[in-house]
Amino acid sequence: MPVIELDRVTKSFKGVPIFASASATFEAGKIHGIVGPNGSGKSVLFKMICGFILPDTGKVTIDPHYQSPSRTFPEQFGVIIDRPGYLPQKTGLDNLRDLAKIRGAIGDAEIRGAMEKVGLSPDLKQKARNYSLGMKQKLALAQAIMEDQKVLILDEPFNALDVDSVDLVRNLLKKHREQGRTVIFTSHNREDIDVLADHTLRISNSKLERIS
Amino acid sequence: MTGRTLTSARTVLWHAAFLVVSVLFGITVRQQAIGRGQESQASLNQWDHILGFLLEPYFIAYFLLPVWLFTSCVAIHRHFAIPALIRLGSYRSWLRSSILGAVRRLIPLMLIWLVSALLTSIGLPYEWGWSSASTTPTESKQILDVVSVQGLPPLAVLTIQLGLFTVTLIGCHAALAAVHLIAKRRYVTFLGAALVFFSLLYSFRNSFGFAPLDFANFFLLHRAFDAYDPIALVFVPVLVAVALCFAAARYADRQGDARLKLPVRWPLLVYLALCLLGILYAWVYKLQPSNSPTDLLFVAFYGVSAGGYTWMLYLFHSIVFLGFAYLFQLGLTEELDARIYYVALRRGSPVRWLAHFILPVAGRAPILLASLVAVTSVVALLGNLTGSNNAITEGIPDPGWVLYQFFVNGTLQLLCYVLITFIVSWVSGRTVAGLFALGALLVLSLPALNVGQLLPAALNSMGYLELGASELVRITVVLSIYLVVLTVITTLVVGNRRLFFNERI
Repeated sequence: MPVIELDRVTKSFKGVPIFASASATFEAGKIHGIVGPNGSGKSVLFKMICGFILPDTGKVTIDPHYQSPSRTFPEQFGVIIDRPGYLPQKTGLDNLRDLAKIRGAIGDAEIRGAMEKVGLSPDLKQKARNYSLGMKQKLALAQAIMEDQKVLILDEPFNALDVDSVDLVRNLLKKHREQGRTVIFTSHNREDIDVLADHTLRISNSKLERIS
Repeated sequence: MTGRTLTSARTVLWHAAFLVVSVLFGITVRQQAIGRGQESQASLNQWDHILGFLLEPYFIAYFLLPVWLFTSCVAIHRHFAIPALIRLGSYRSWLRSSILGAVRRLIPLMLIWLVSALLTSIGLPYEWGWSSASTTPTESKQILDVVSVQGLPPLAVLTIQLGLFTVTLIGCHAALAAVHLIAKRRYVTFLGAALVFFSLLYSFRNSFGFAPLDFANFFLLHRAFDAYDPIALVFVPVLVAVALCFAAARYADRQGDARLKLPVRWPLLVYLALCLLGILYAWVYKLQPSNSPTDLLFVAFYGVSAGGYTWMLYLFHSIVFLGFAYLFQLGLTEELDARIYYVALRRGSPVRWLAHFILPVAGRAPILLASLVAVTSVVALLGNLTGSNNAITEGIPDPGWVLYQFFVNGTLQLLCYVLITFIVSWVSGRTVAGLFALGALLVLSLPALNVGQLLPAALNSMGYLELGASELVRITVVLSIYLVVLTVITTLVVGNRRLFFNERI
């Protein structure tokens, strides 16, 4: 069974159609790249997958392994969706501690490990508000992977990263795939898609088309 | 529909709403003018109504000024962006451009105000001079008493009043823009606006020590006539204030991108300091050593009563209880703007997120009240308020009811404020709309509007103790019903994913 399935999903916002009868399946253990012009609805797609917003018609089905009846939003999903994800007056480590406390599944060691994996020092005393754009992006990535999430939904994960960090994150995502995890990401950089994606989907004319 | 068309449609709607409120208020002012005419048994003309309307303190203080300050803050925040700054070249140019924008916003409002005054004067006799009613002294006719005897024709008074009001509102905008340039923080600008608003409210009811700088002089011509001779001098302080704003912009130009350094928790620190100041005010100005600590609690949190209110006590009550909701609003803004998706995903459902977000706030409400009682007791002890005769609270049912009103109705009132702020922010999708809700609650607290104590605003005022124990229980019932309804609405709007933070796509 696919991890995520969209069946004839329609979504419009203030009368502007974003998706019209869009269908797609995302298989487990693969990296799925999504491309599309600015404003085509990539973030909307991710919010619908996570259950933050509902389609007007059609259905988004999540593998029951990741969707218990007591929850509205899926479990074991790590996401980066258009919010920064940190409180500016706290350090990066403290921000991640706050989020980790919610489920209580991991401790400091795992949080520090996640930060190091994305190339961010956990011992930085800087407040998050003083981070560079690239550091903020790494912090967002760290929160998405720190709880050993099985499905990653990443909106523009390579934004603002330097060349070395791009390599680091690409390797991280490849490793996730080797471990049987699923990654869905968007990028405007053709190279990211070519290097990483097993399957590529394009959002075009309110449809989701599989192009490879 | 293009963005420009949408903006125009919004502006037309806004102006239409302004016209409707102005006309409705104009109708009530006209009734008052007619009442004055009957009282003095003299004939009226259109100036009695037009000038009475344009010099109406309630309309200015509770509608025109708050609306202007709020829209100014929003405009300043929107305009203060790097693309605009880089094109304007300096903070001074930015300030000039911001003031010009304010003039463009203000002129239509002034015209609408004038048009609604003219519209609601239809039916009254039209004359060039003063009516006999306006020149016949009566007990209740104070405004026209002052302006009609200055030797100026009504048209000149009208022109000066509109000119003064326009210059003052532009001056307020310039001051807020200058504050924003120095602090570069949205909430400091809003705090500045609140300070201007409260200063005017205070000034309308009281007079500052140095009369020429009394704030009301710059809004109401009859007050200005009392303080300035010749009247043209009233424009000088406002123009000096605008010049100081440009000096501040020059200073900001020299400082570059430096912004005011404030502690992380500065809103909380300011709030706590204001709470302490309010309690000290009640002690210093209202109480004697023969009073008891319960008296101090009663006076400090008197708020409003069914019969009226004392300005400072109403202000302090609003600061304490609406301030709590404001602090909640700050936390909510942070949560929604920064990390709602990440927290909600981990919580598992929107309602669970809501519960974890709201319940700690609900727990803090009684803690705040207990802390205020503790501080009040300490101030009473230090101030040697050791009397046991409850001199001030003598007329109320029982000192136990003071604590009932403070804790039971106080907690319920705080929770209602919090939920109202939350619902407005959530449904509108704009956290700043919560501030507007707080402003509305502030106005609805006034006894003239909260007739029968049916609106959930300032119902925990100690002033309502004067109505007796049964009224306090009725207030508890009213607040409890509101709380249940608000809780249901909150749960529904958060649980409805078609409204999930208003689907901010």
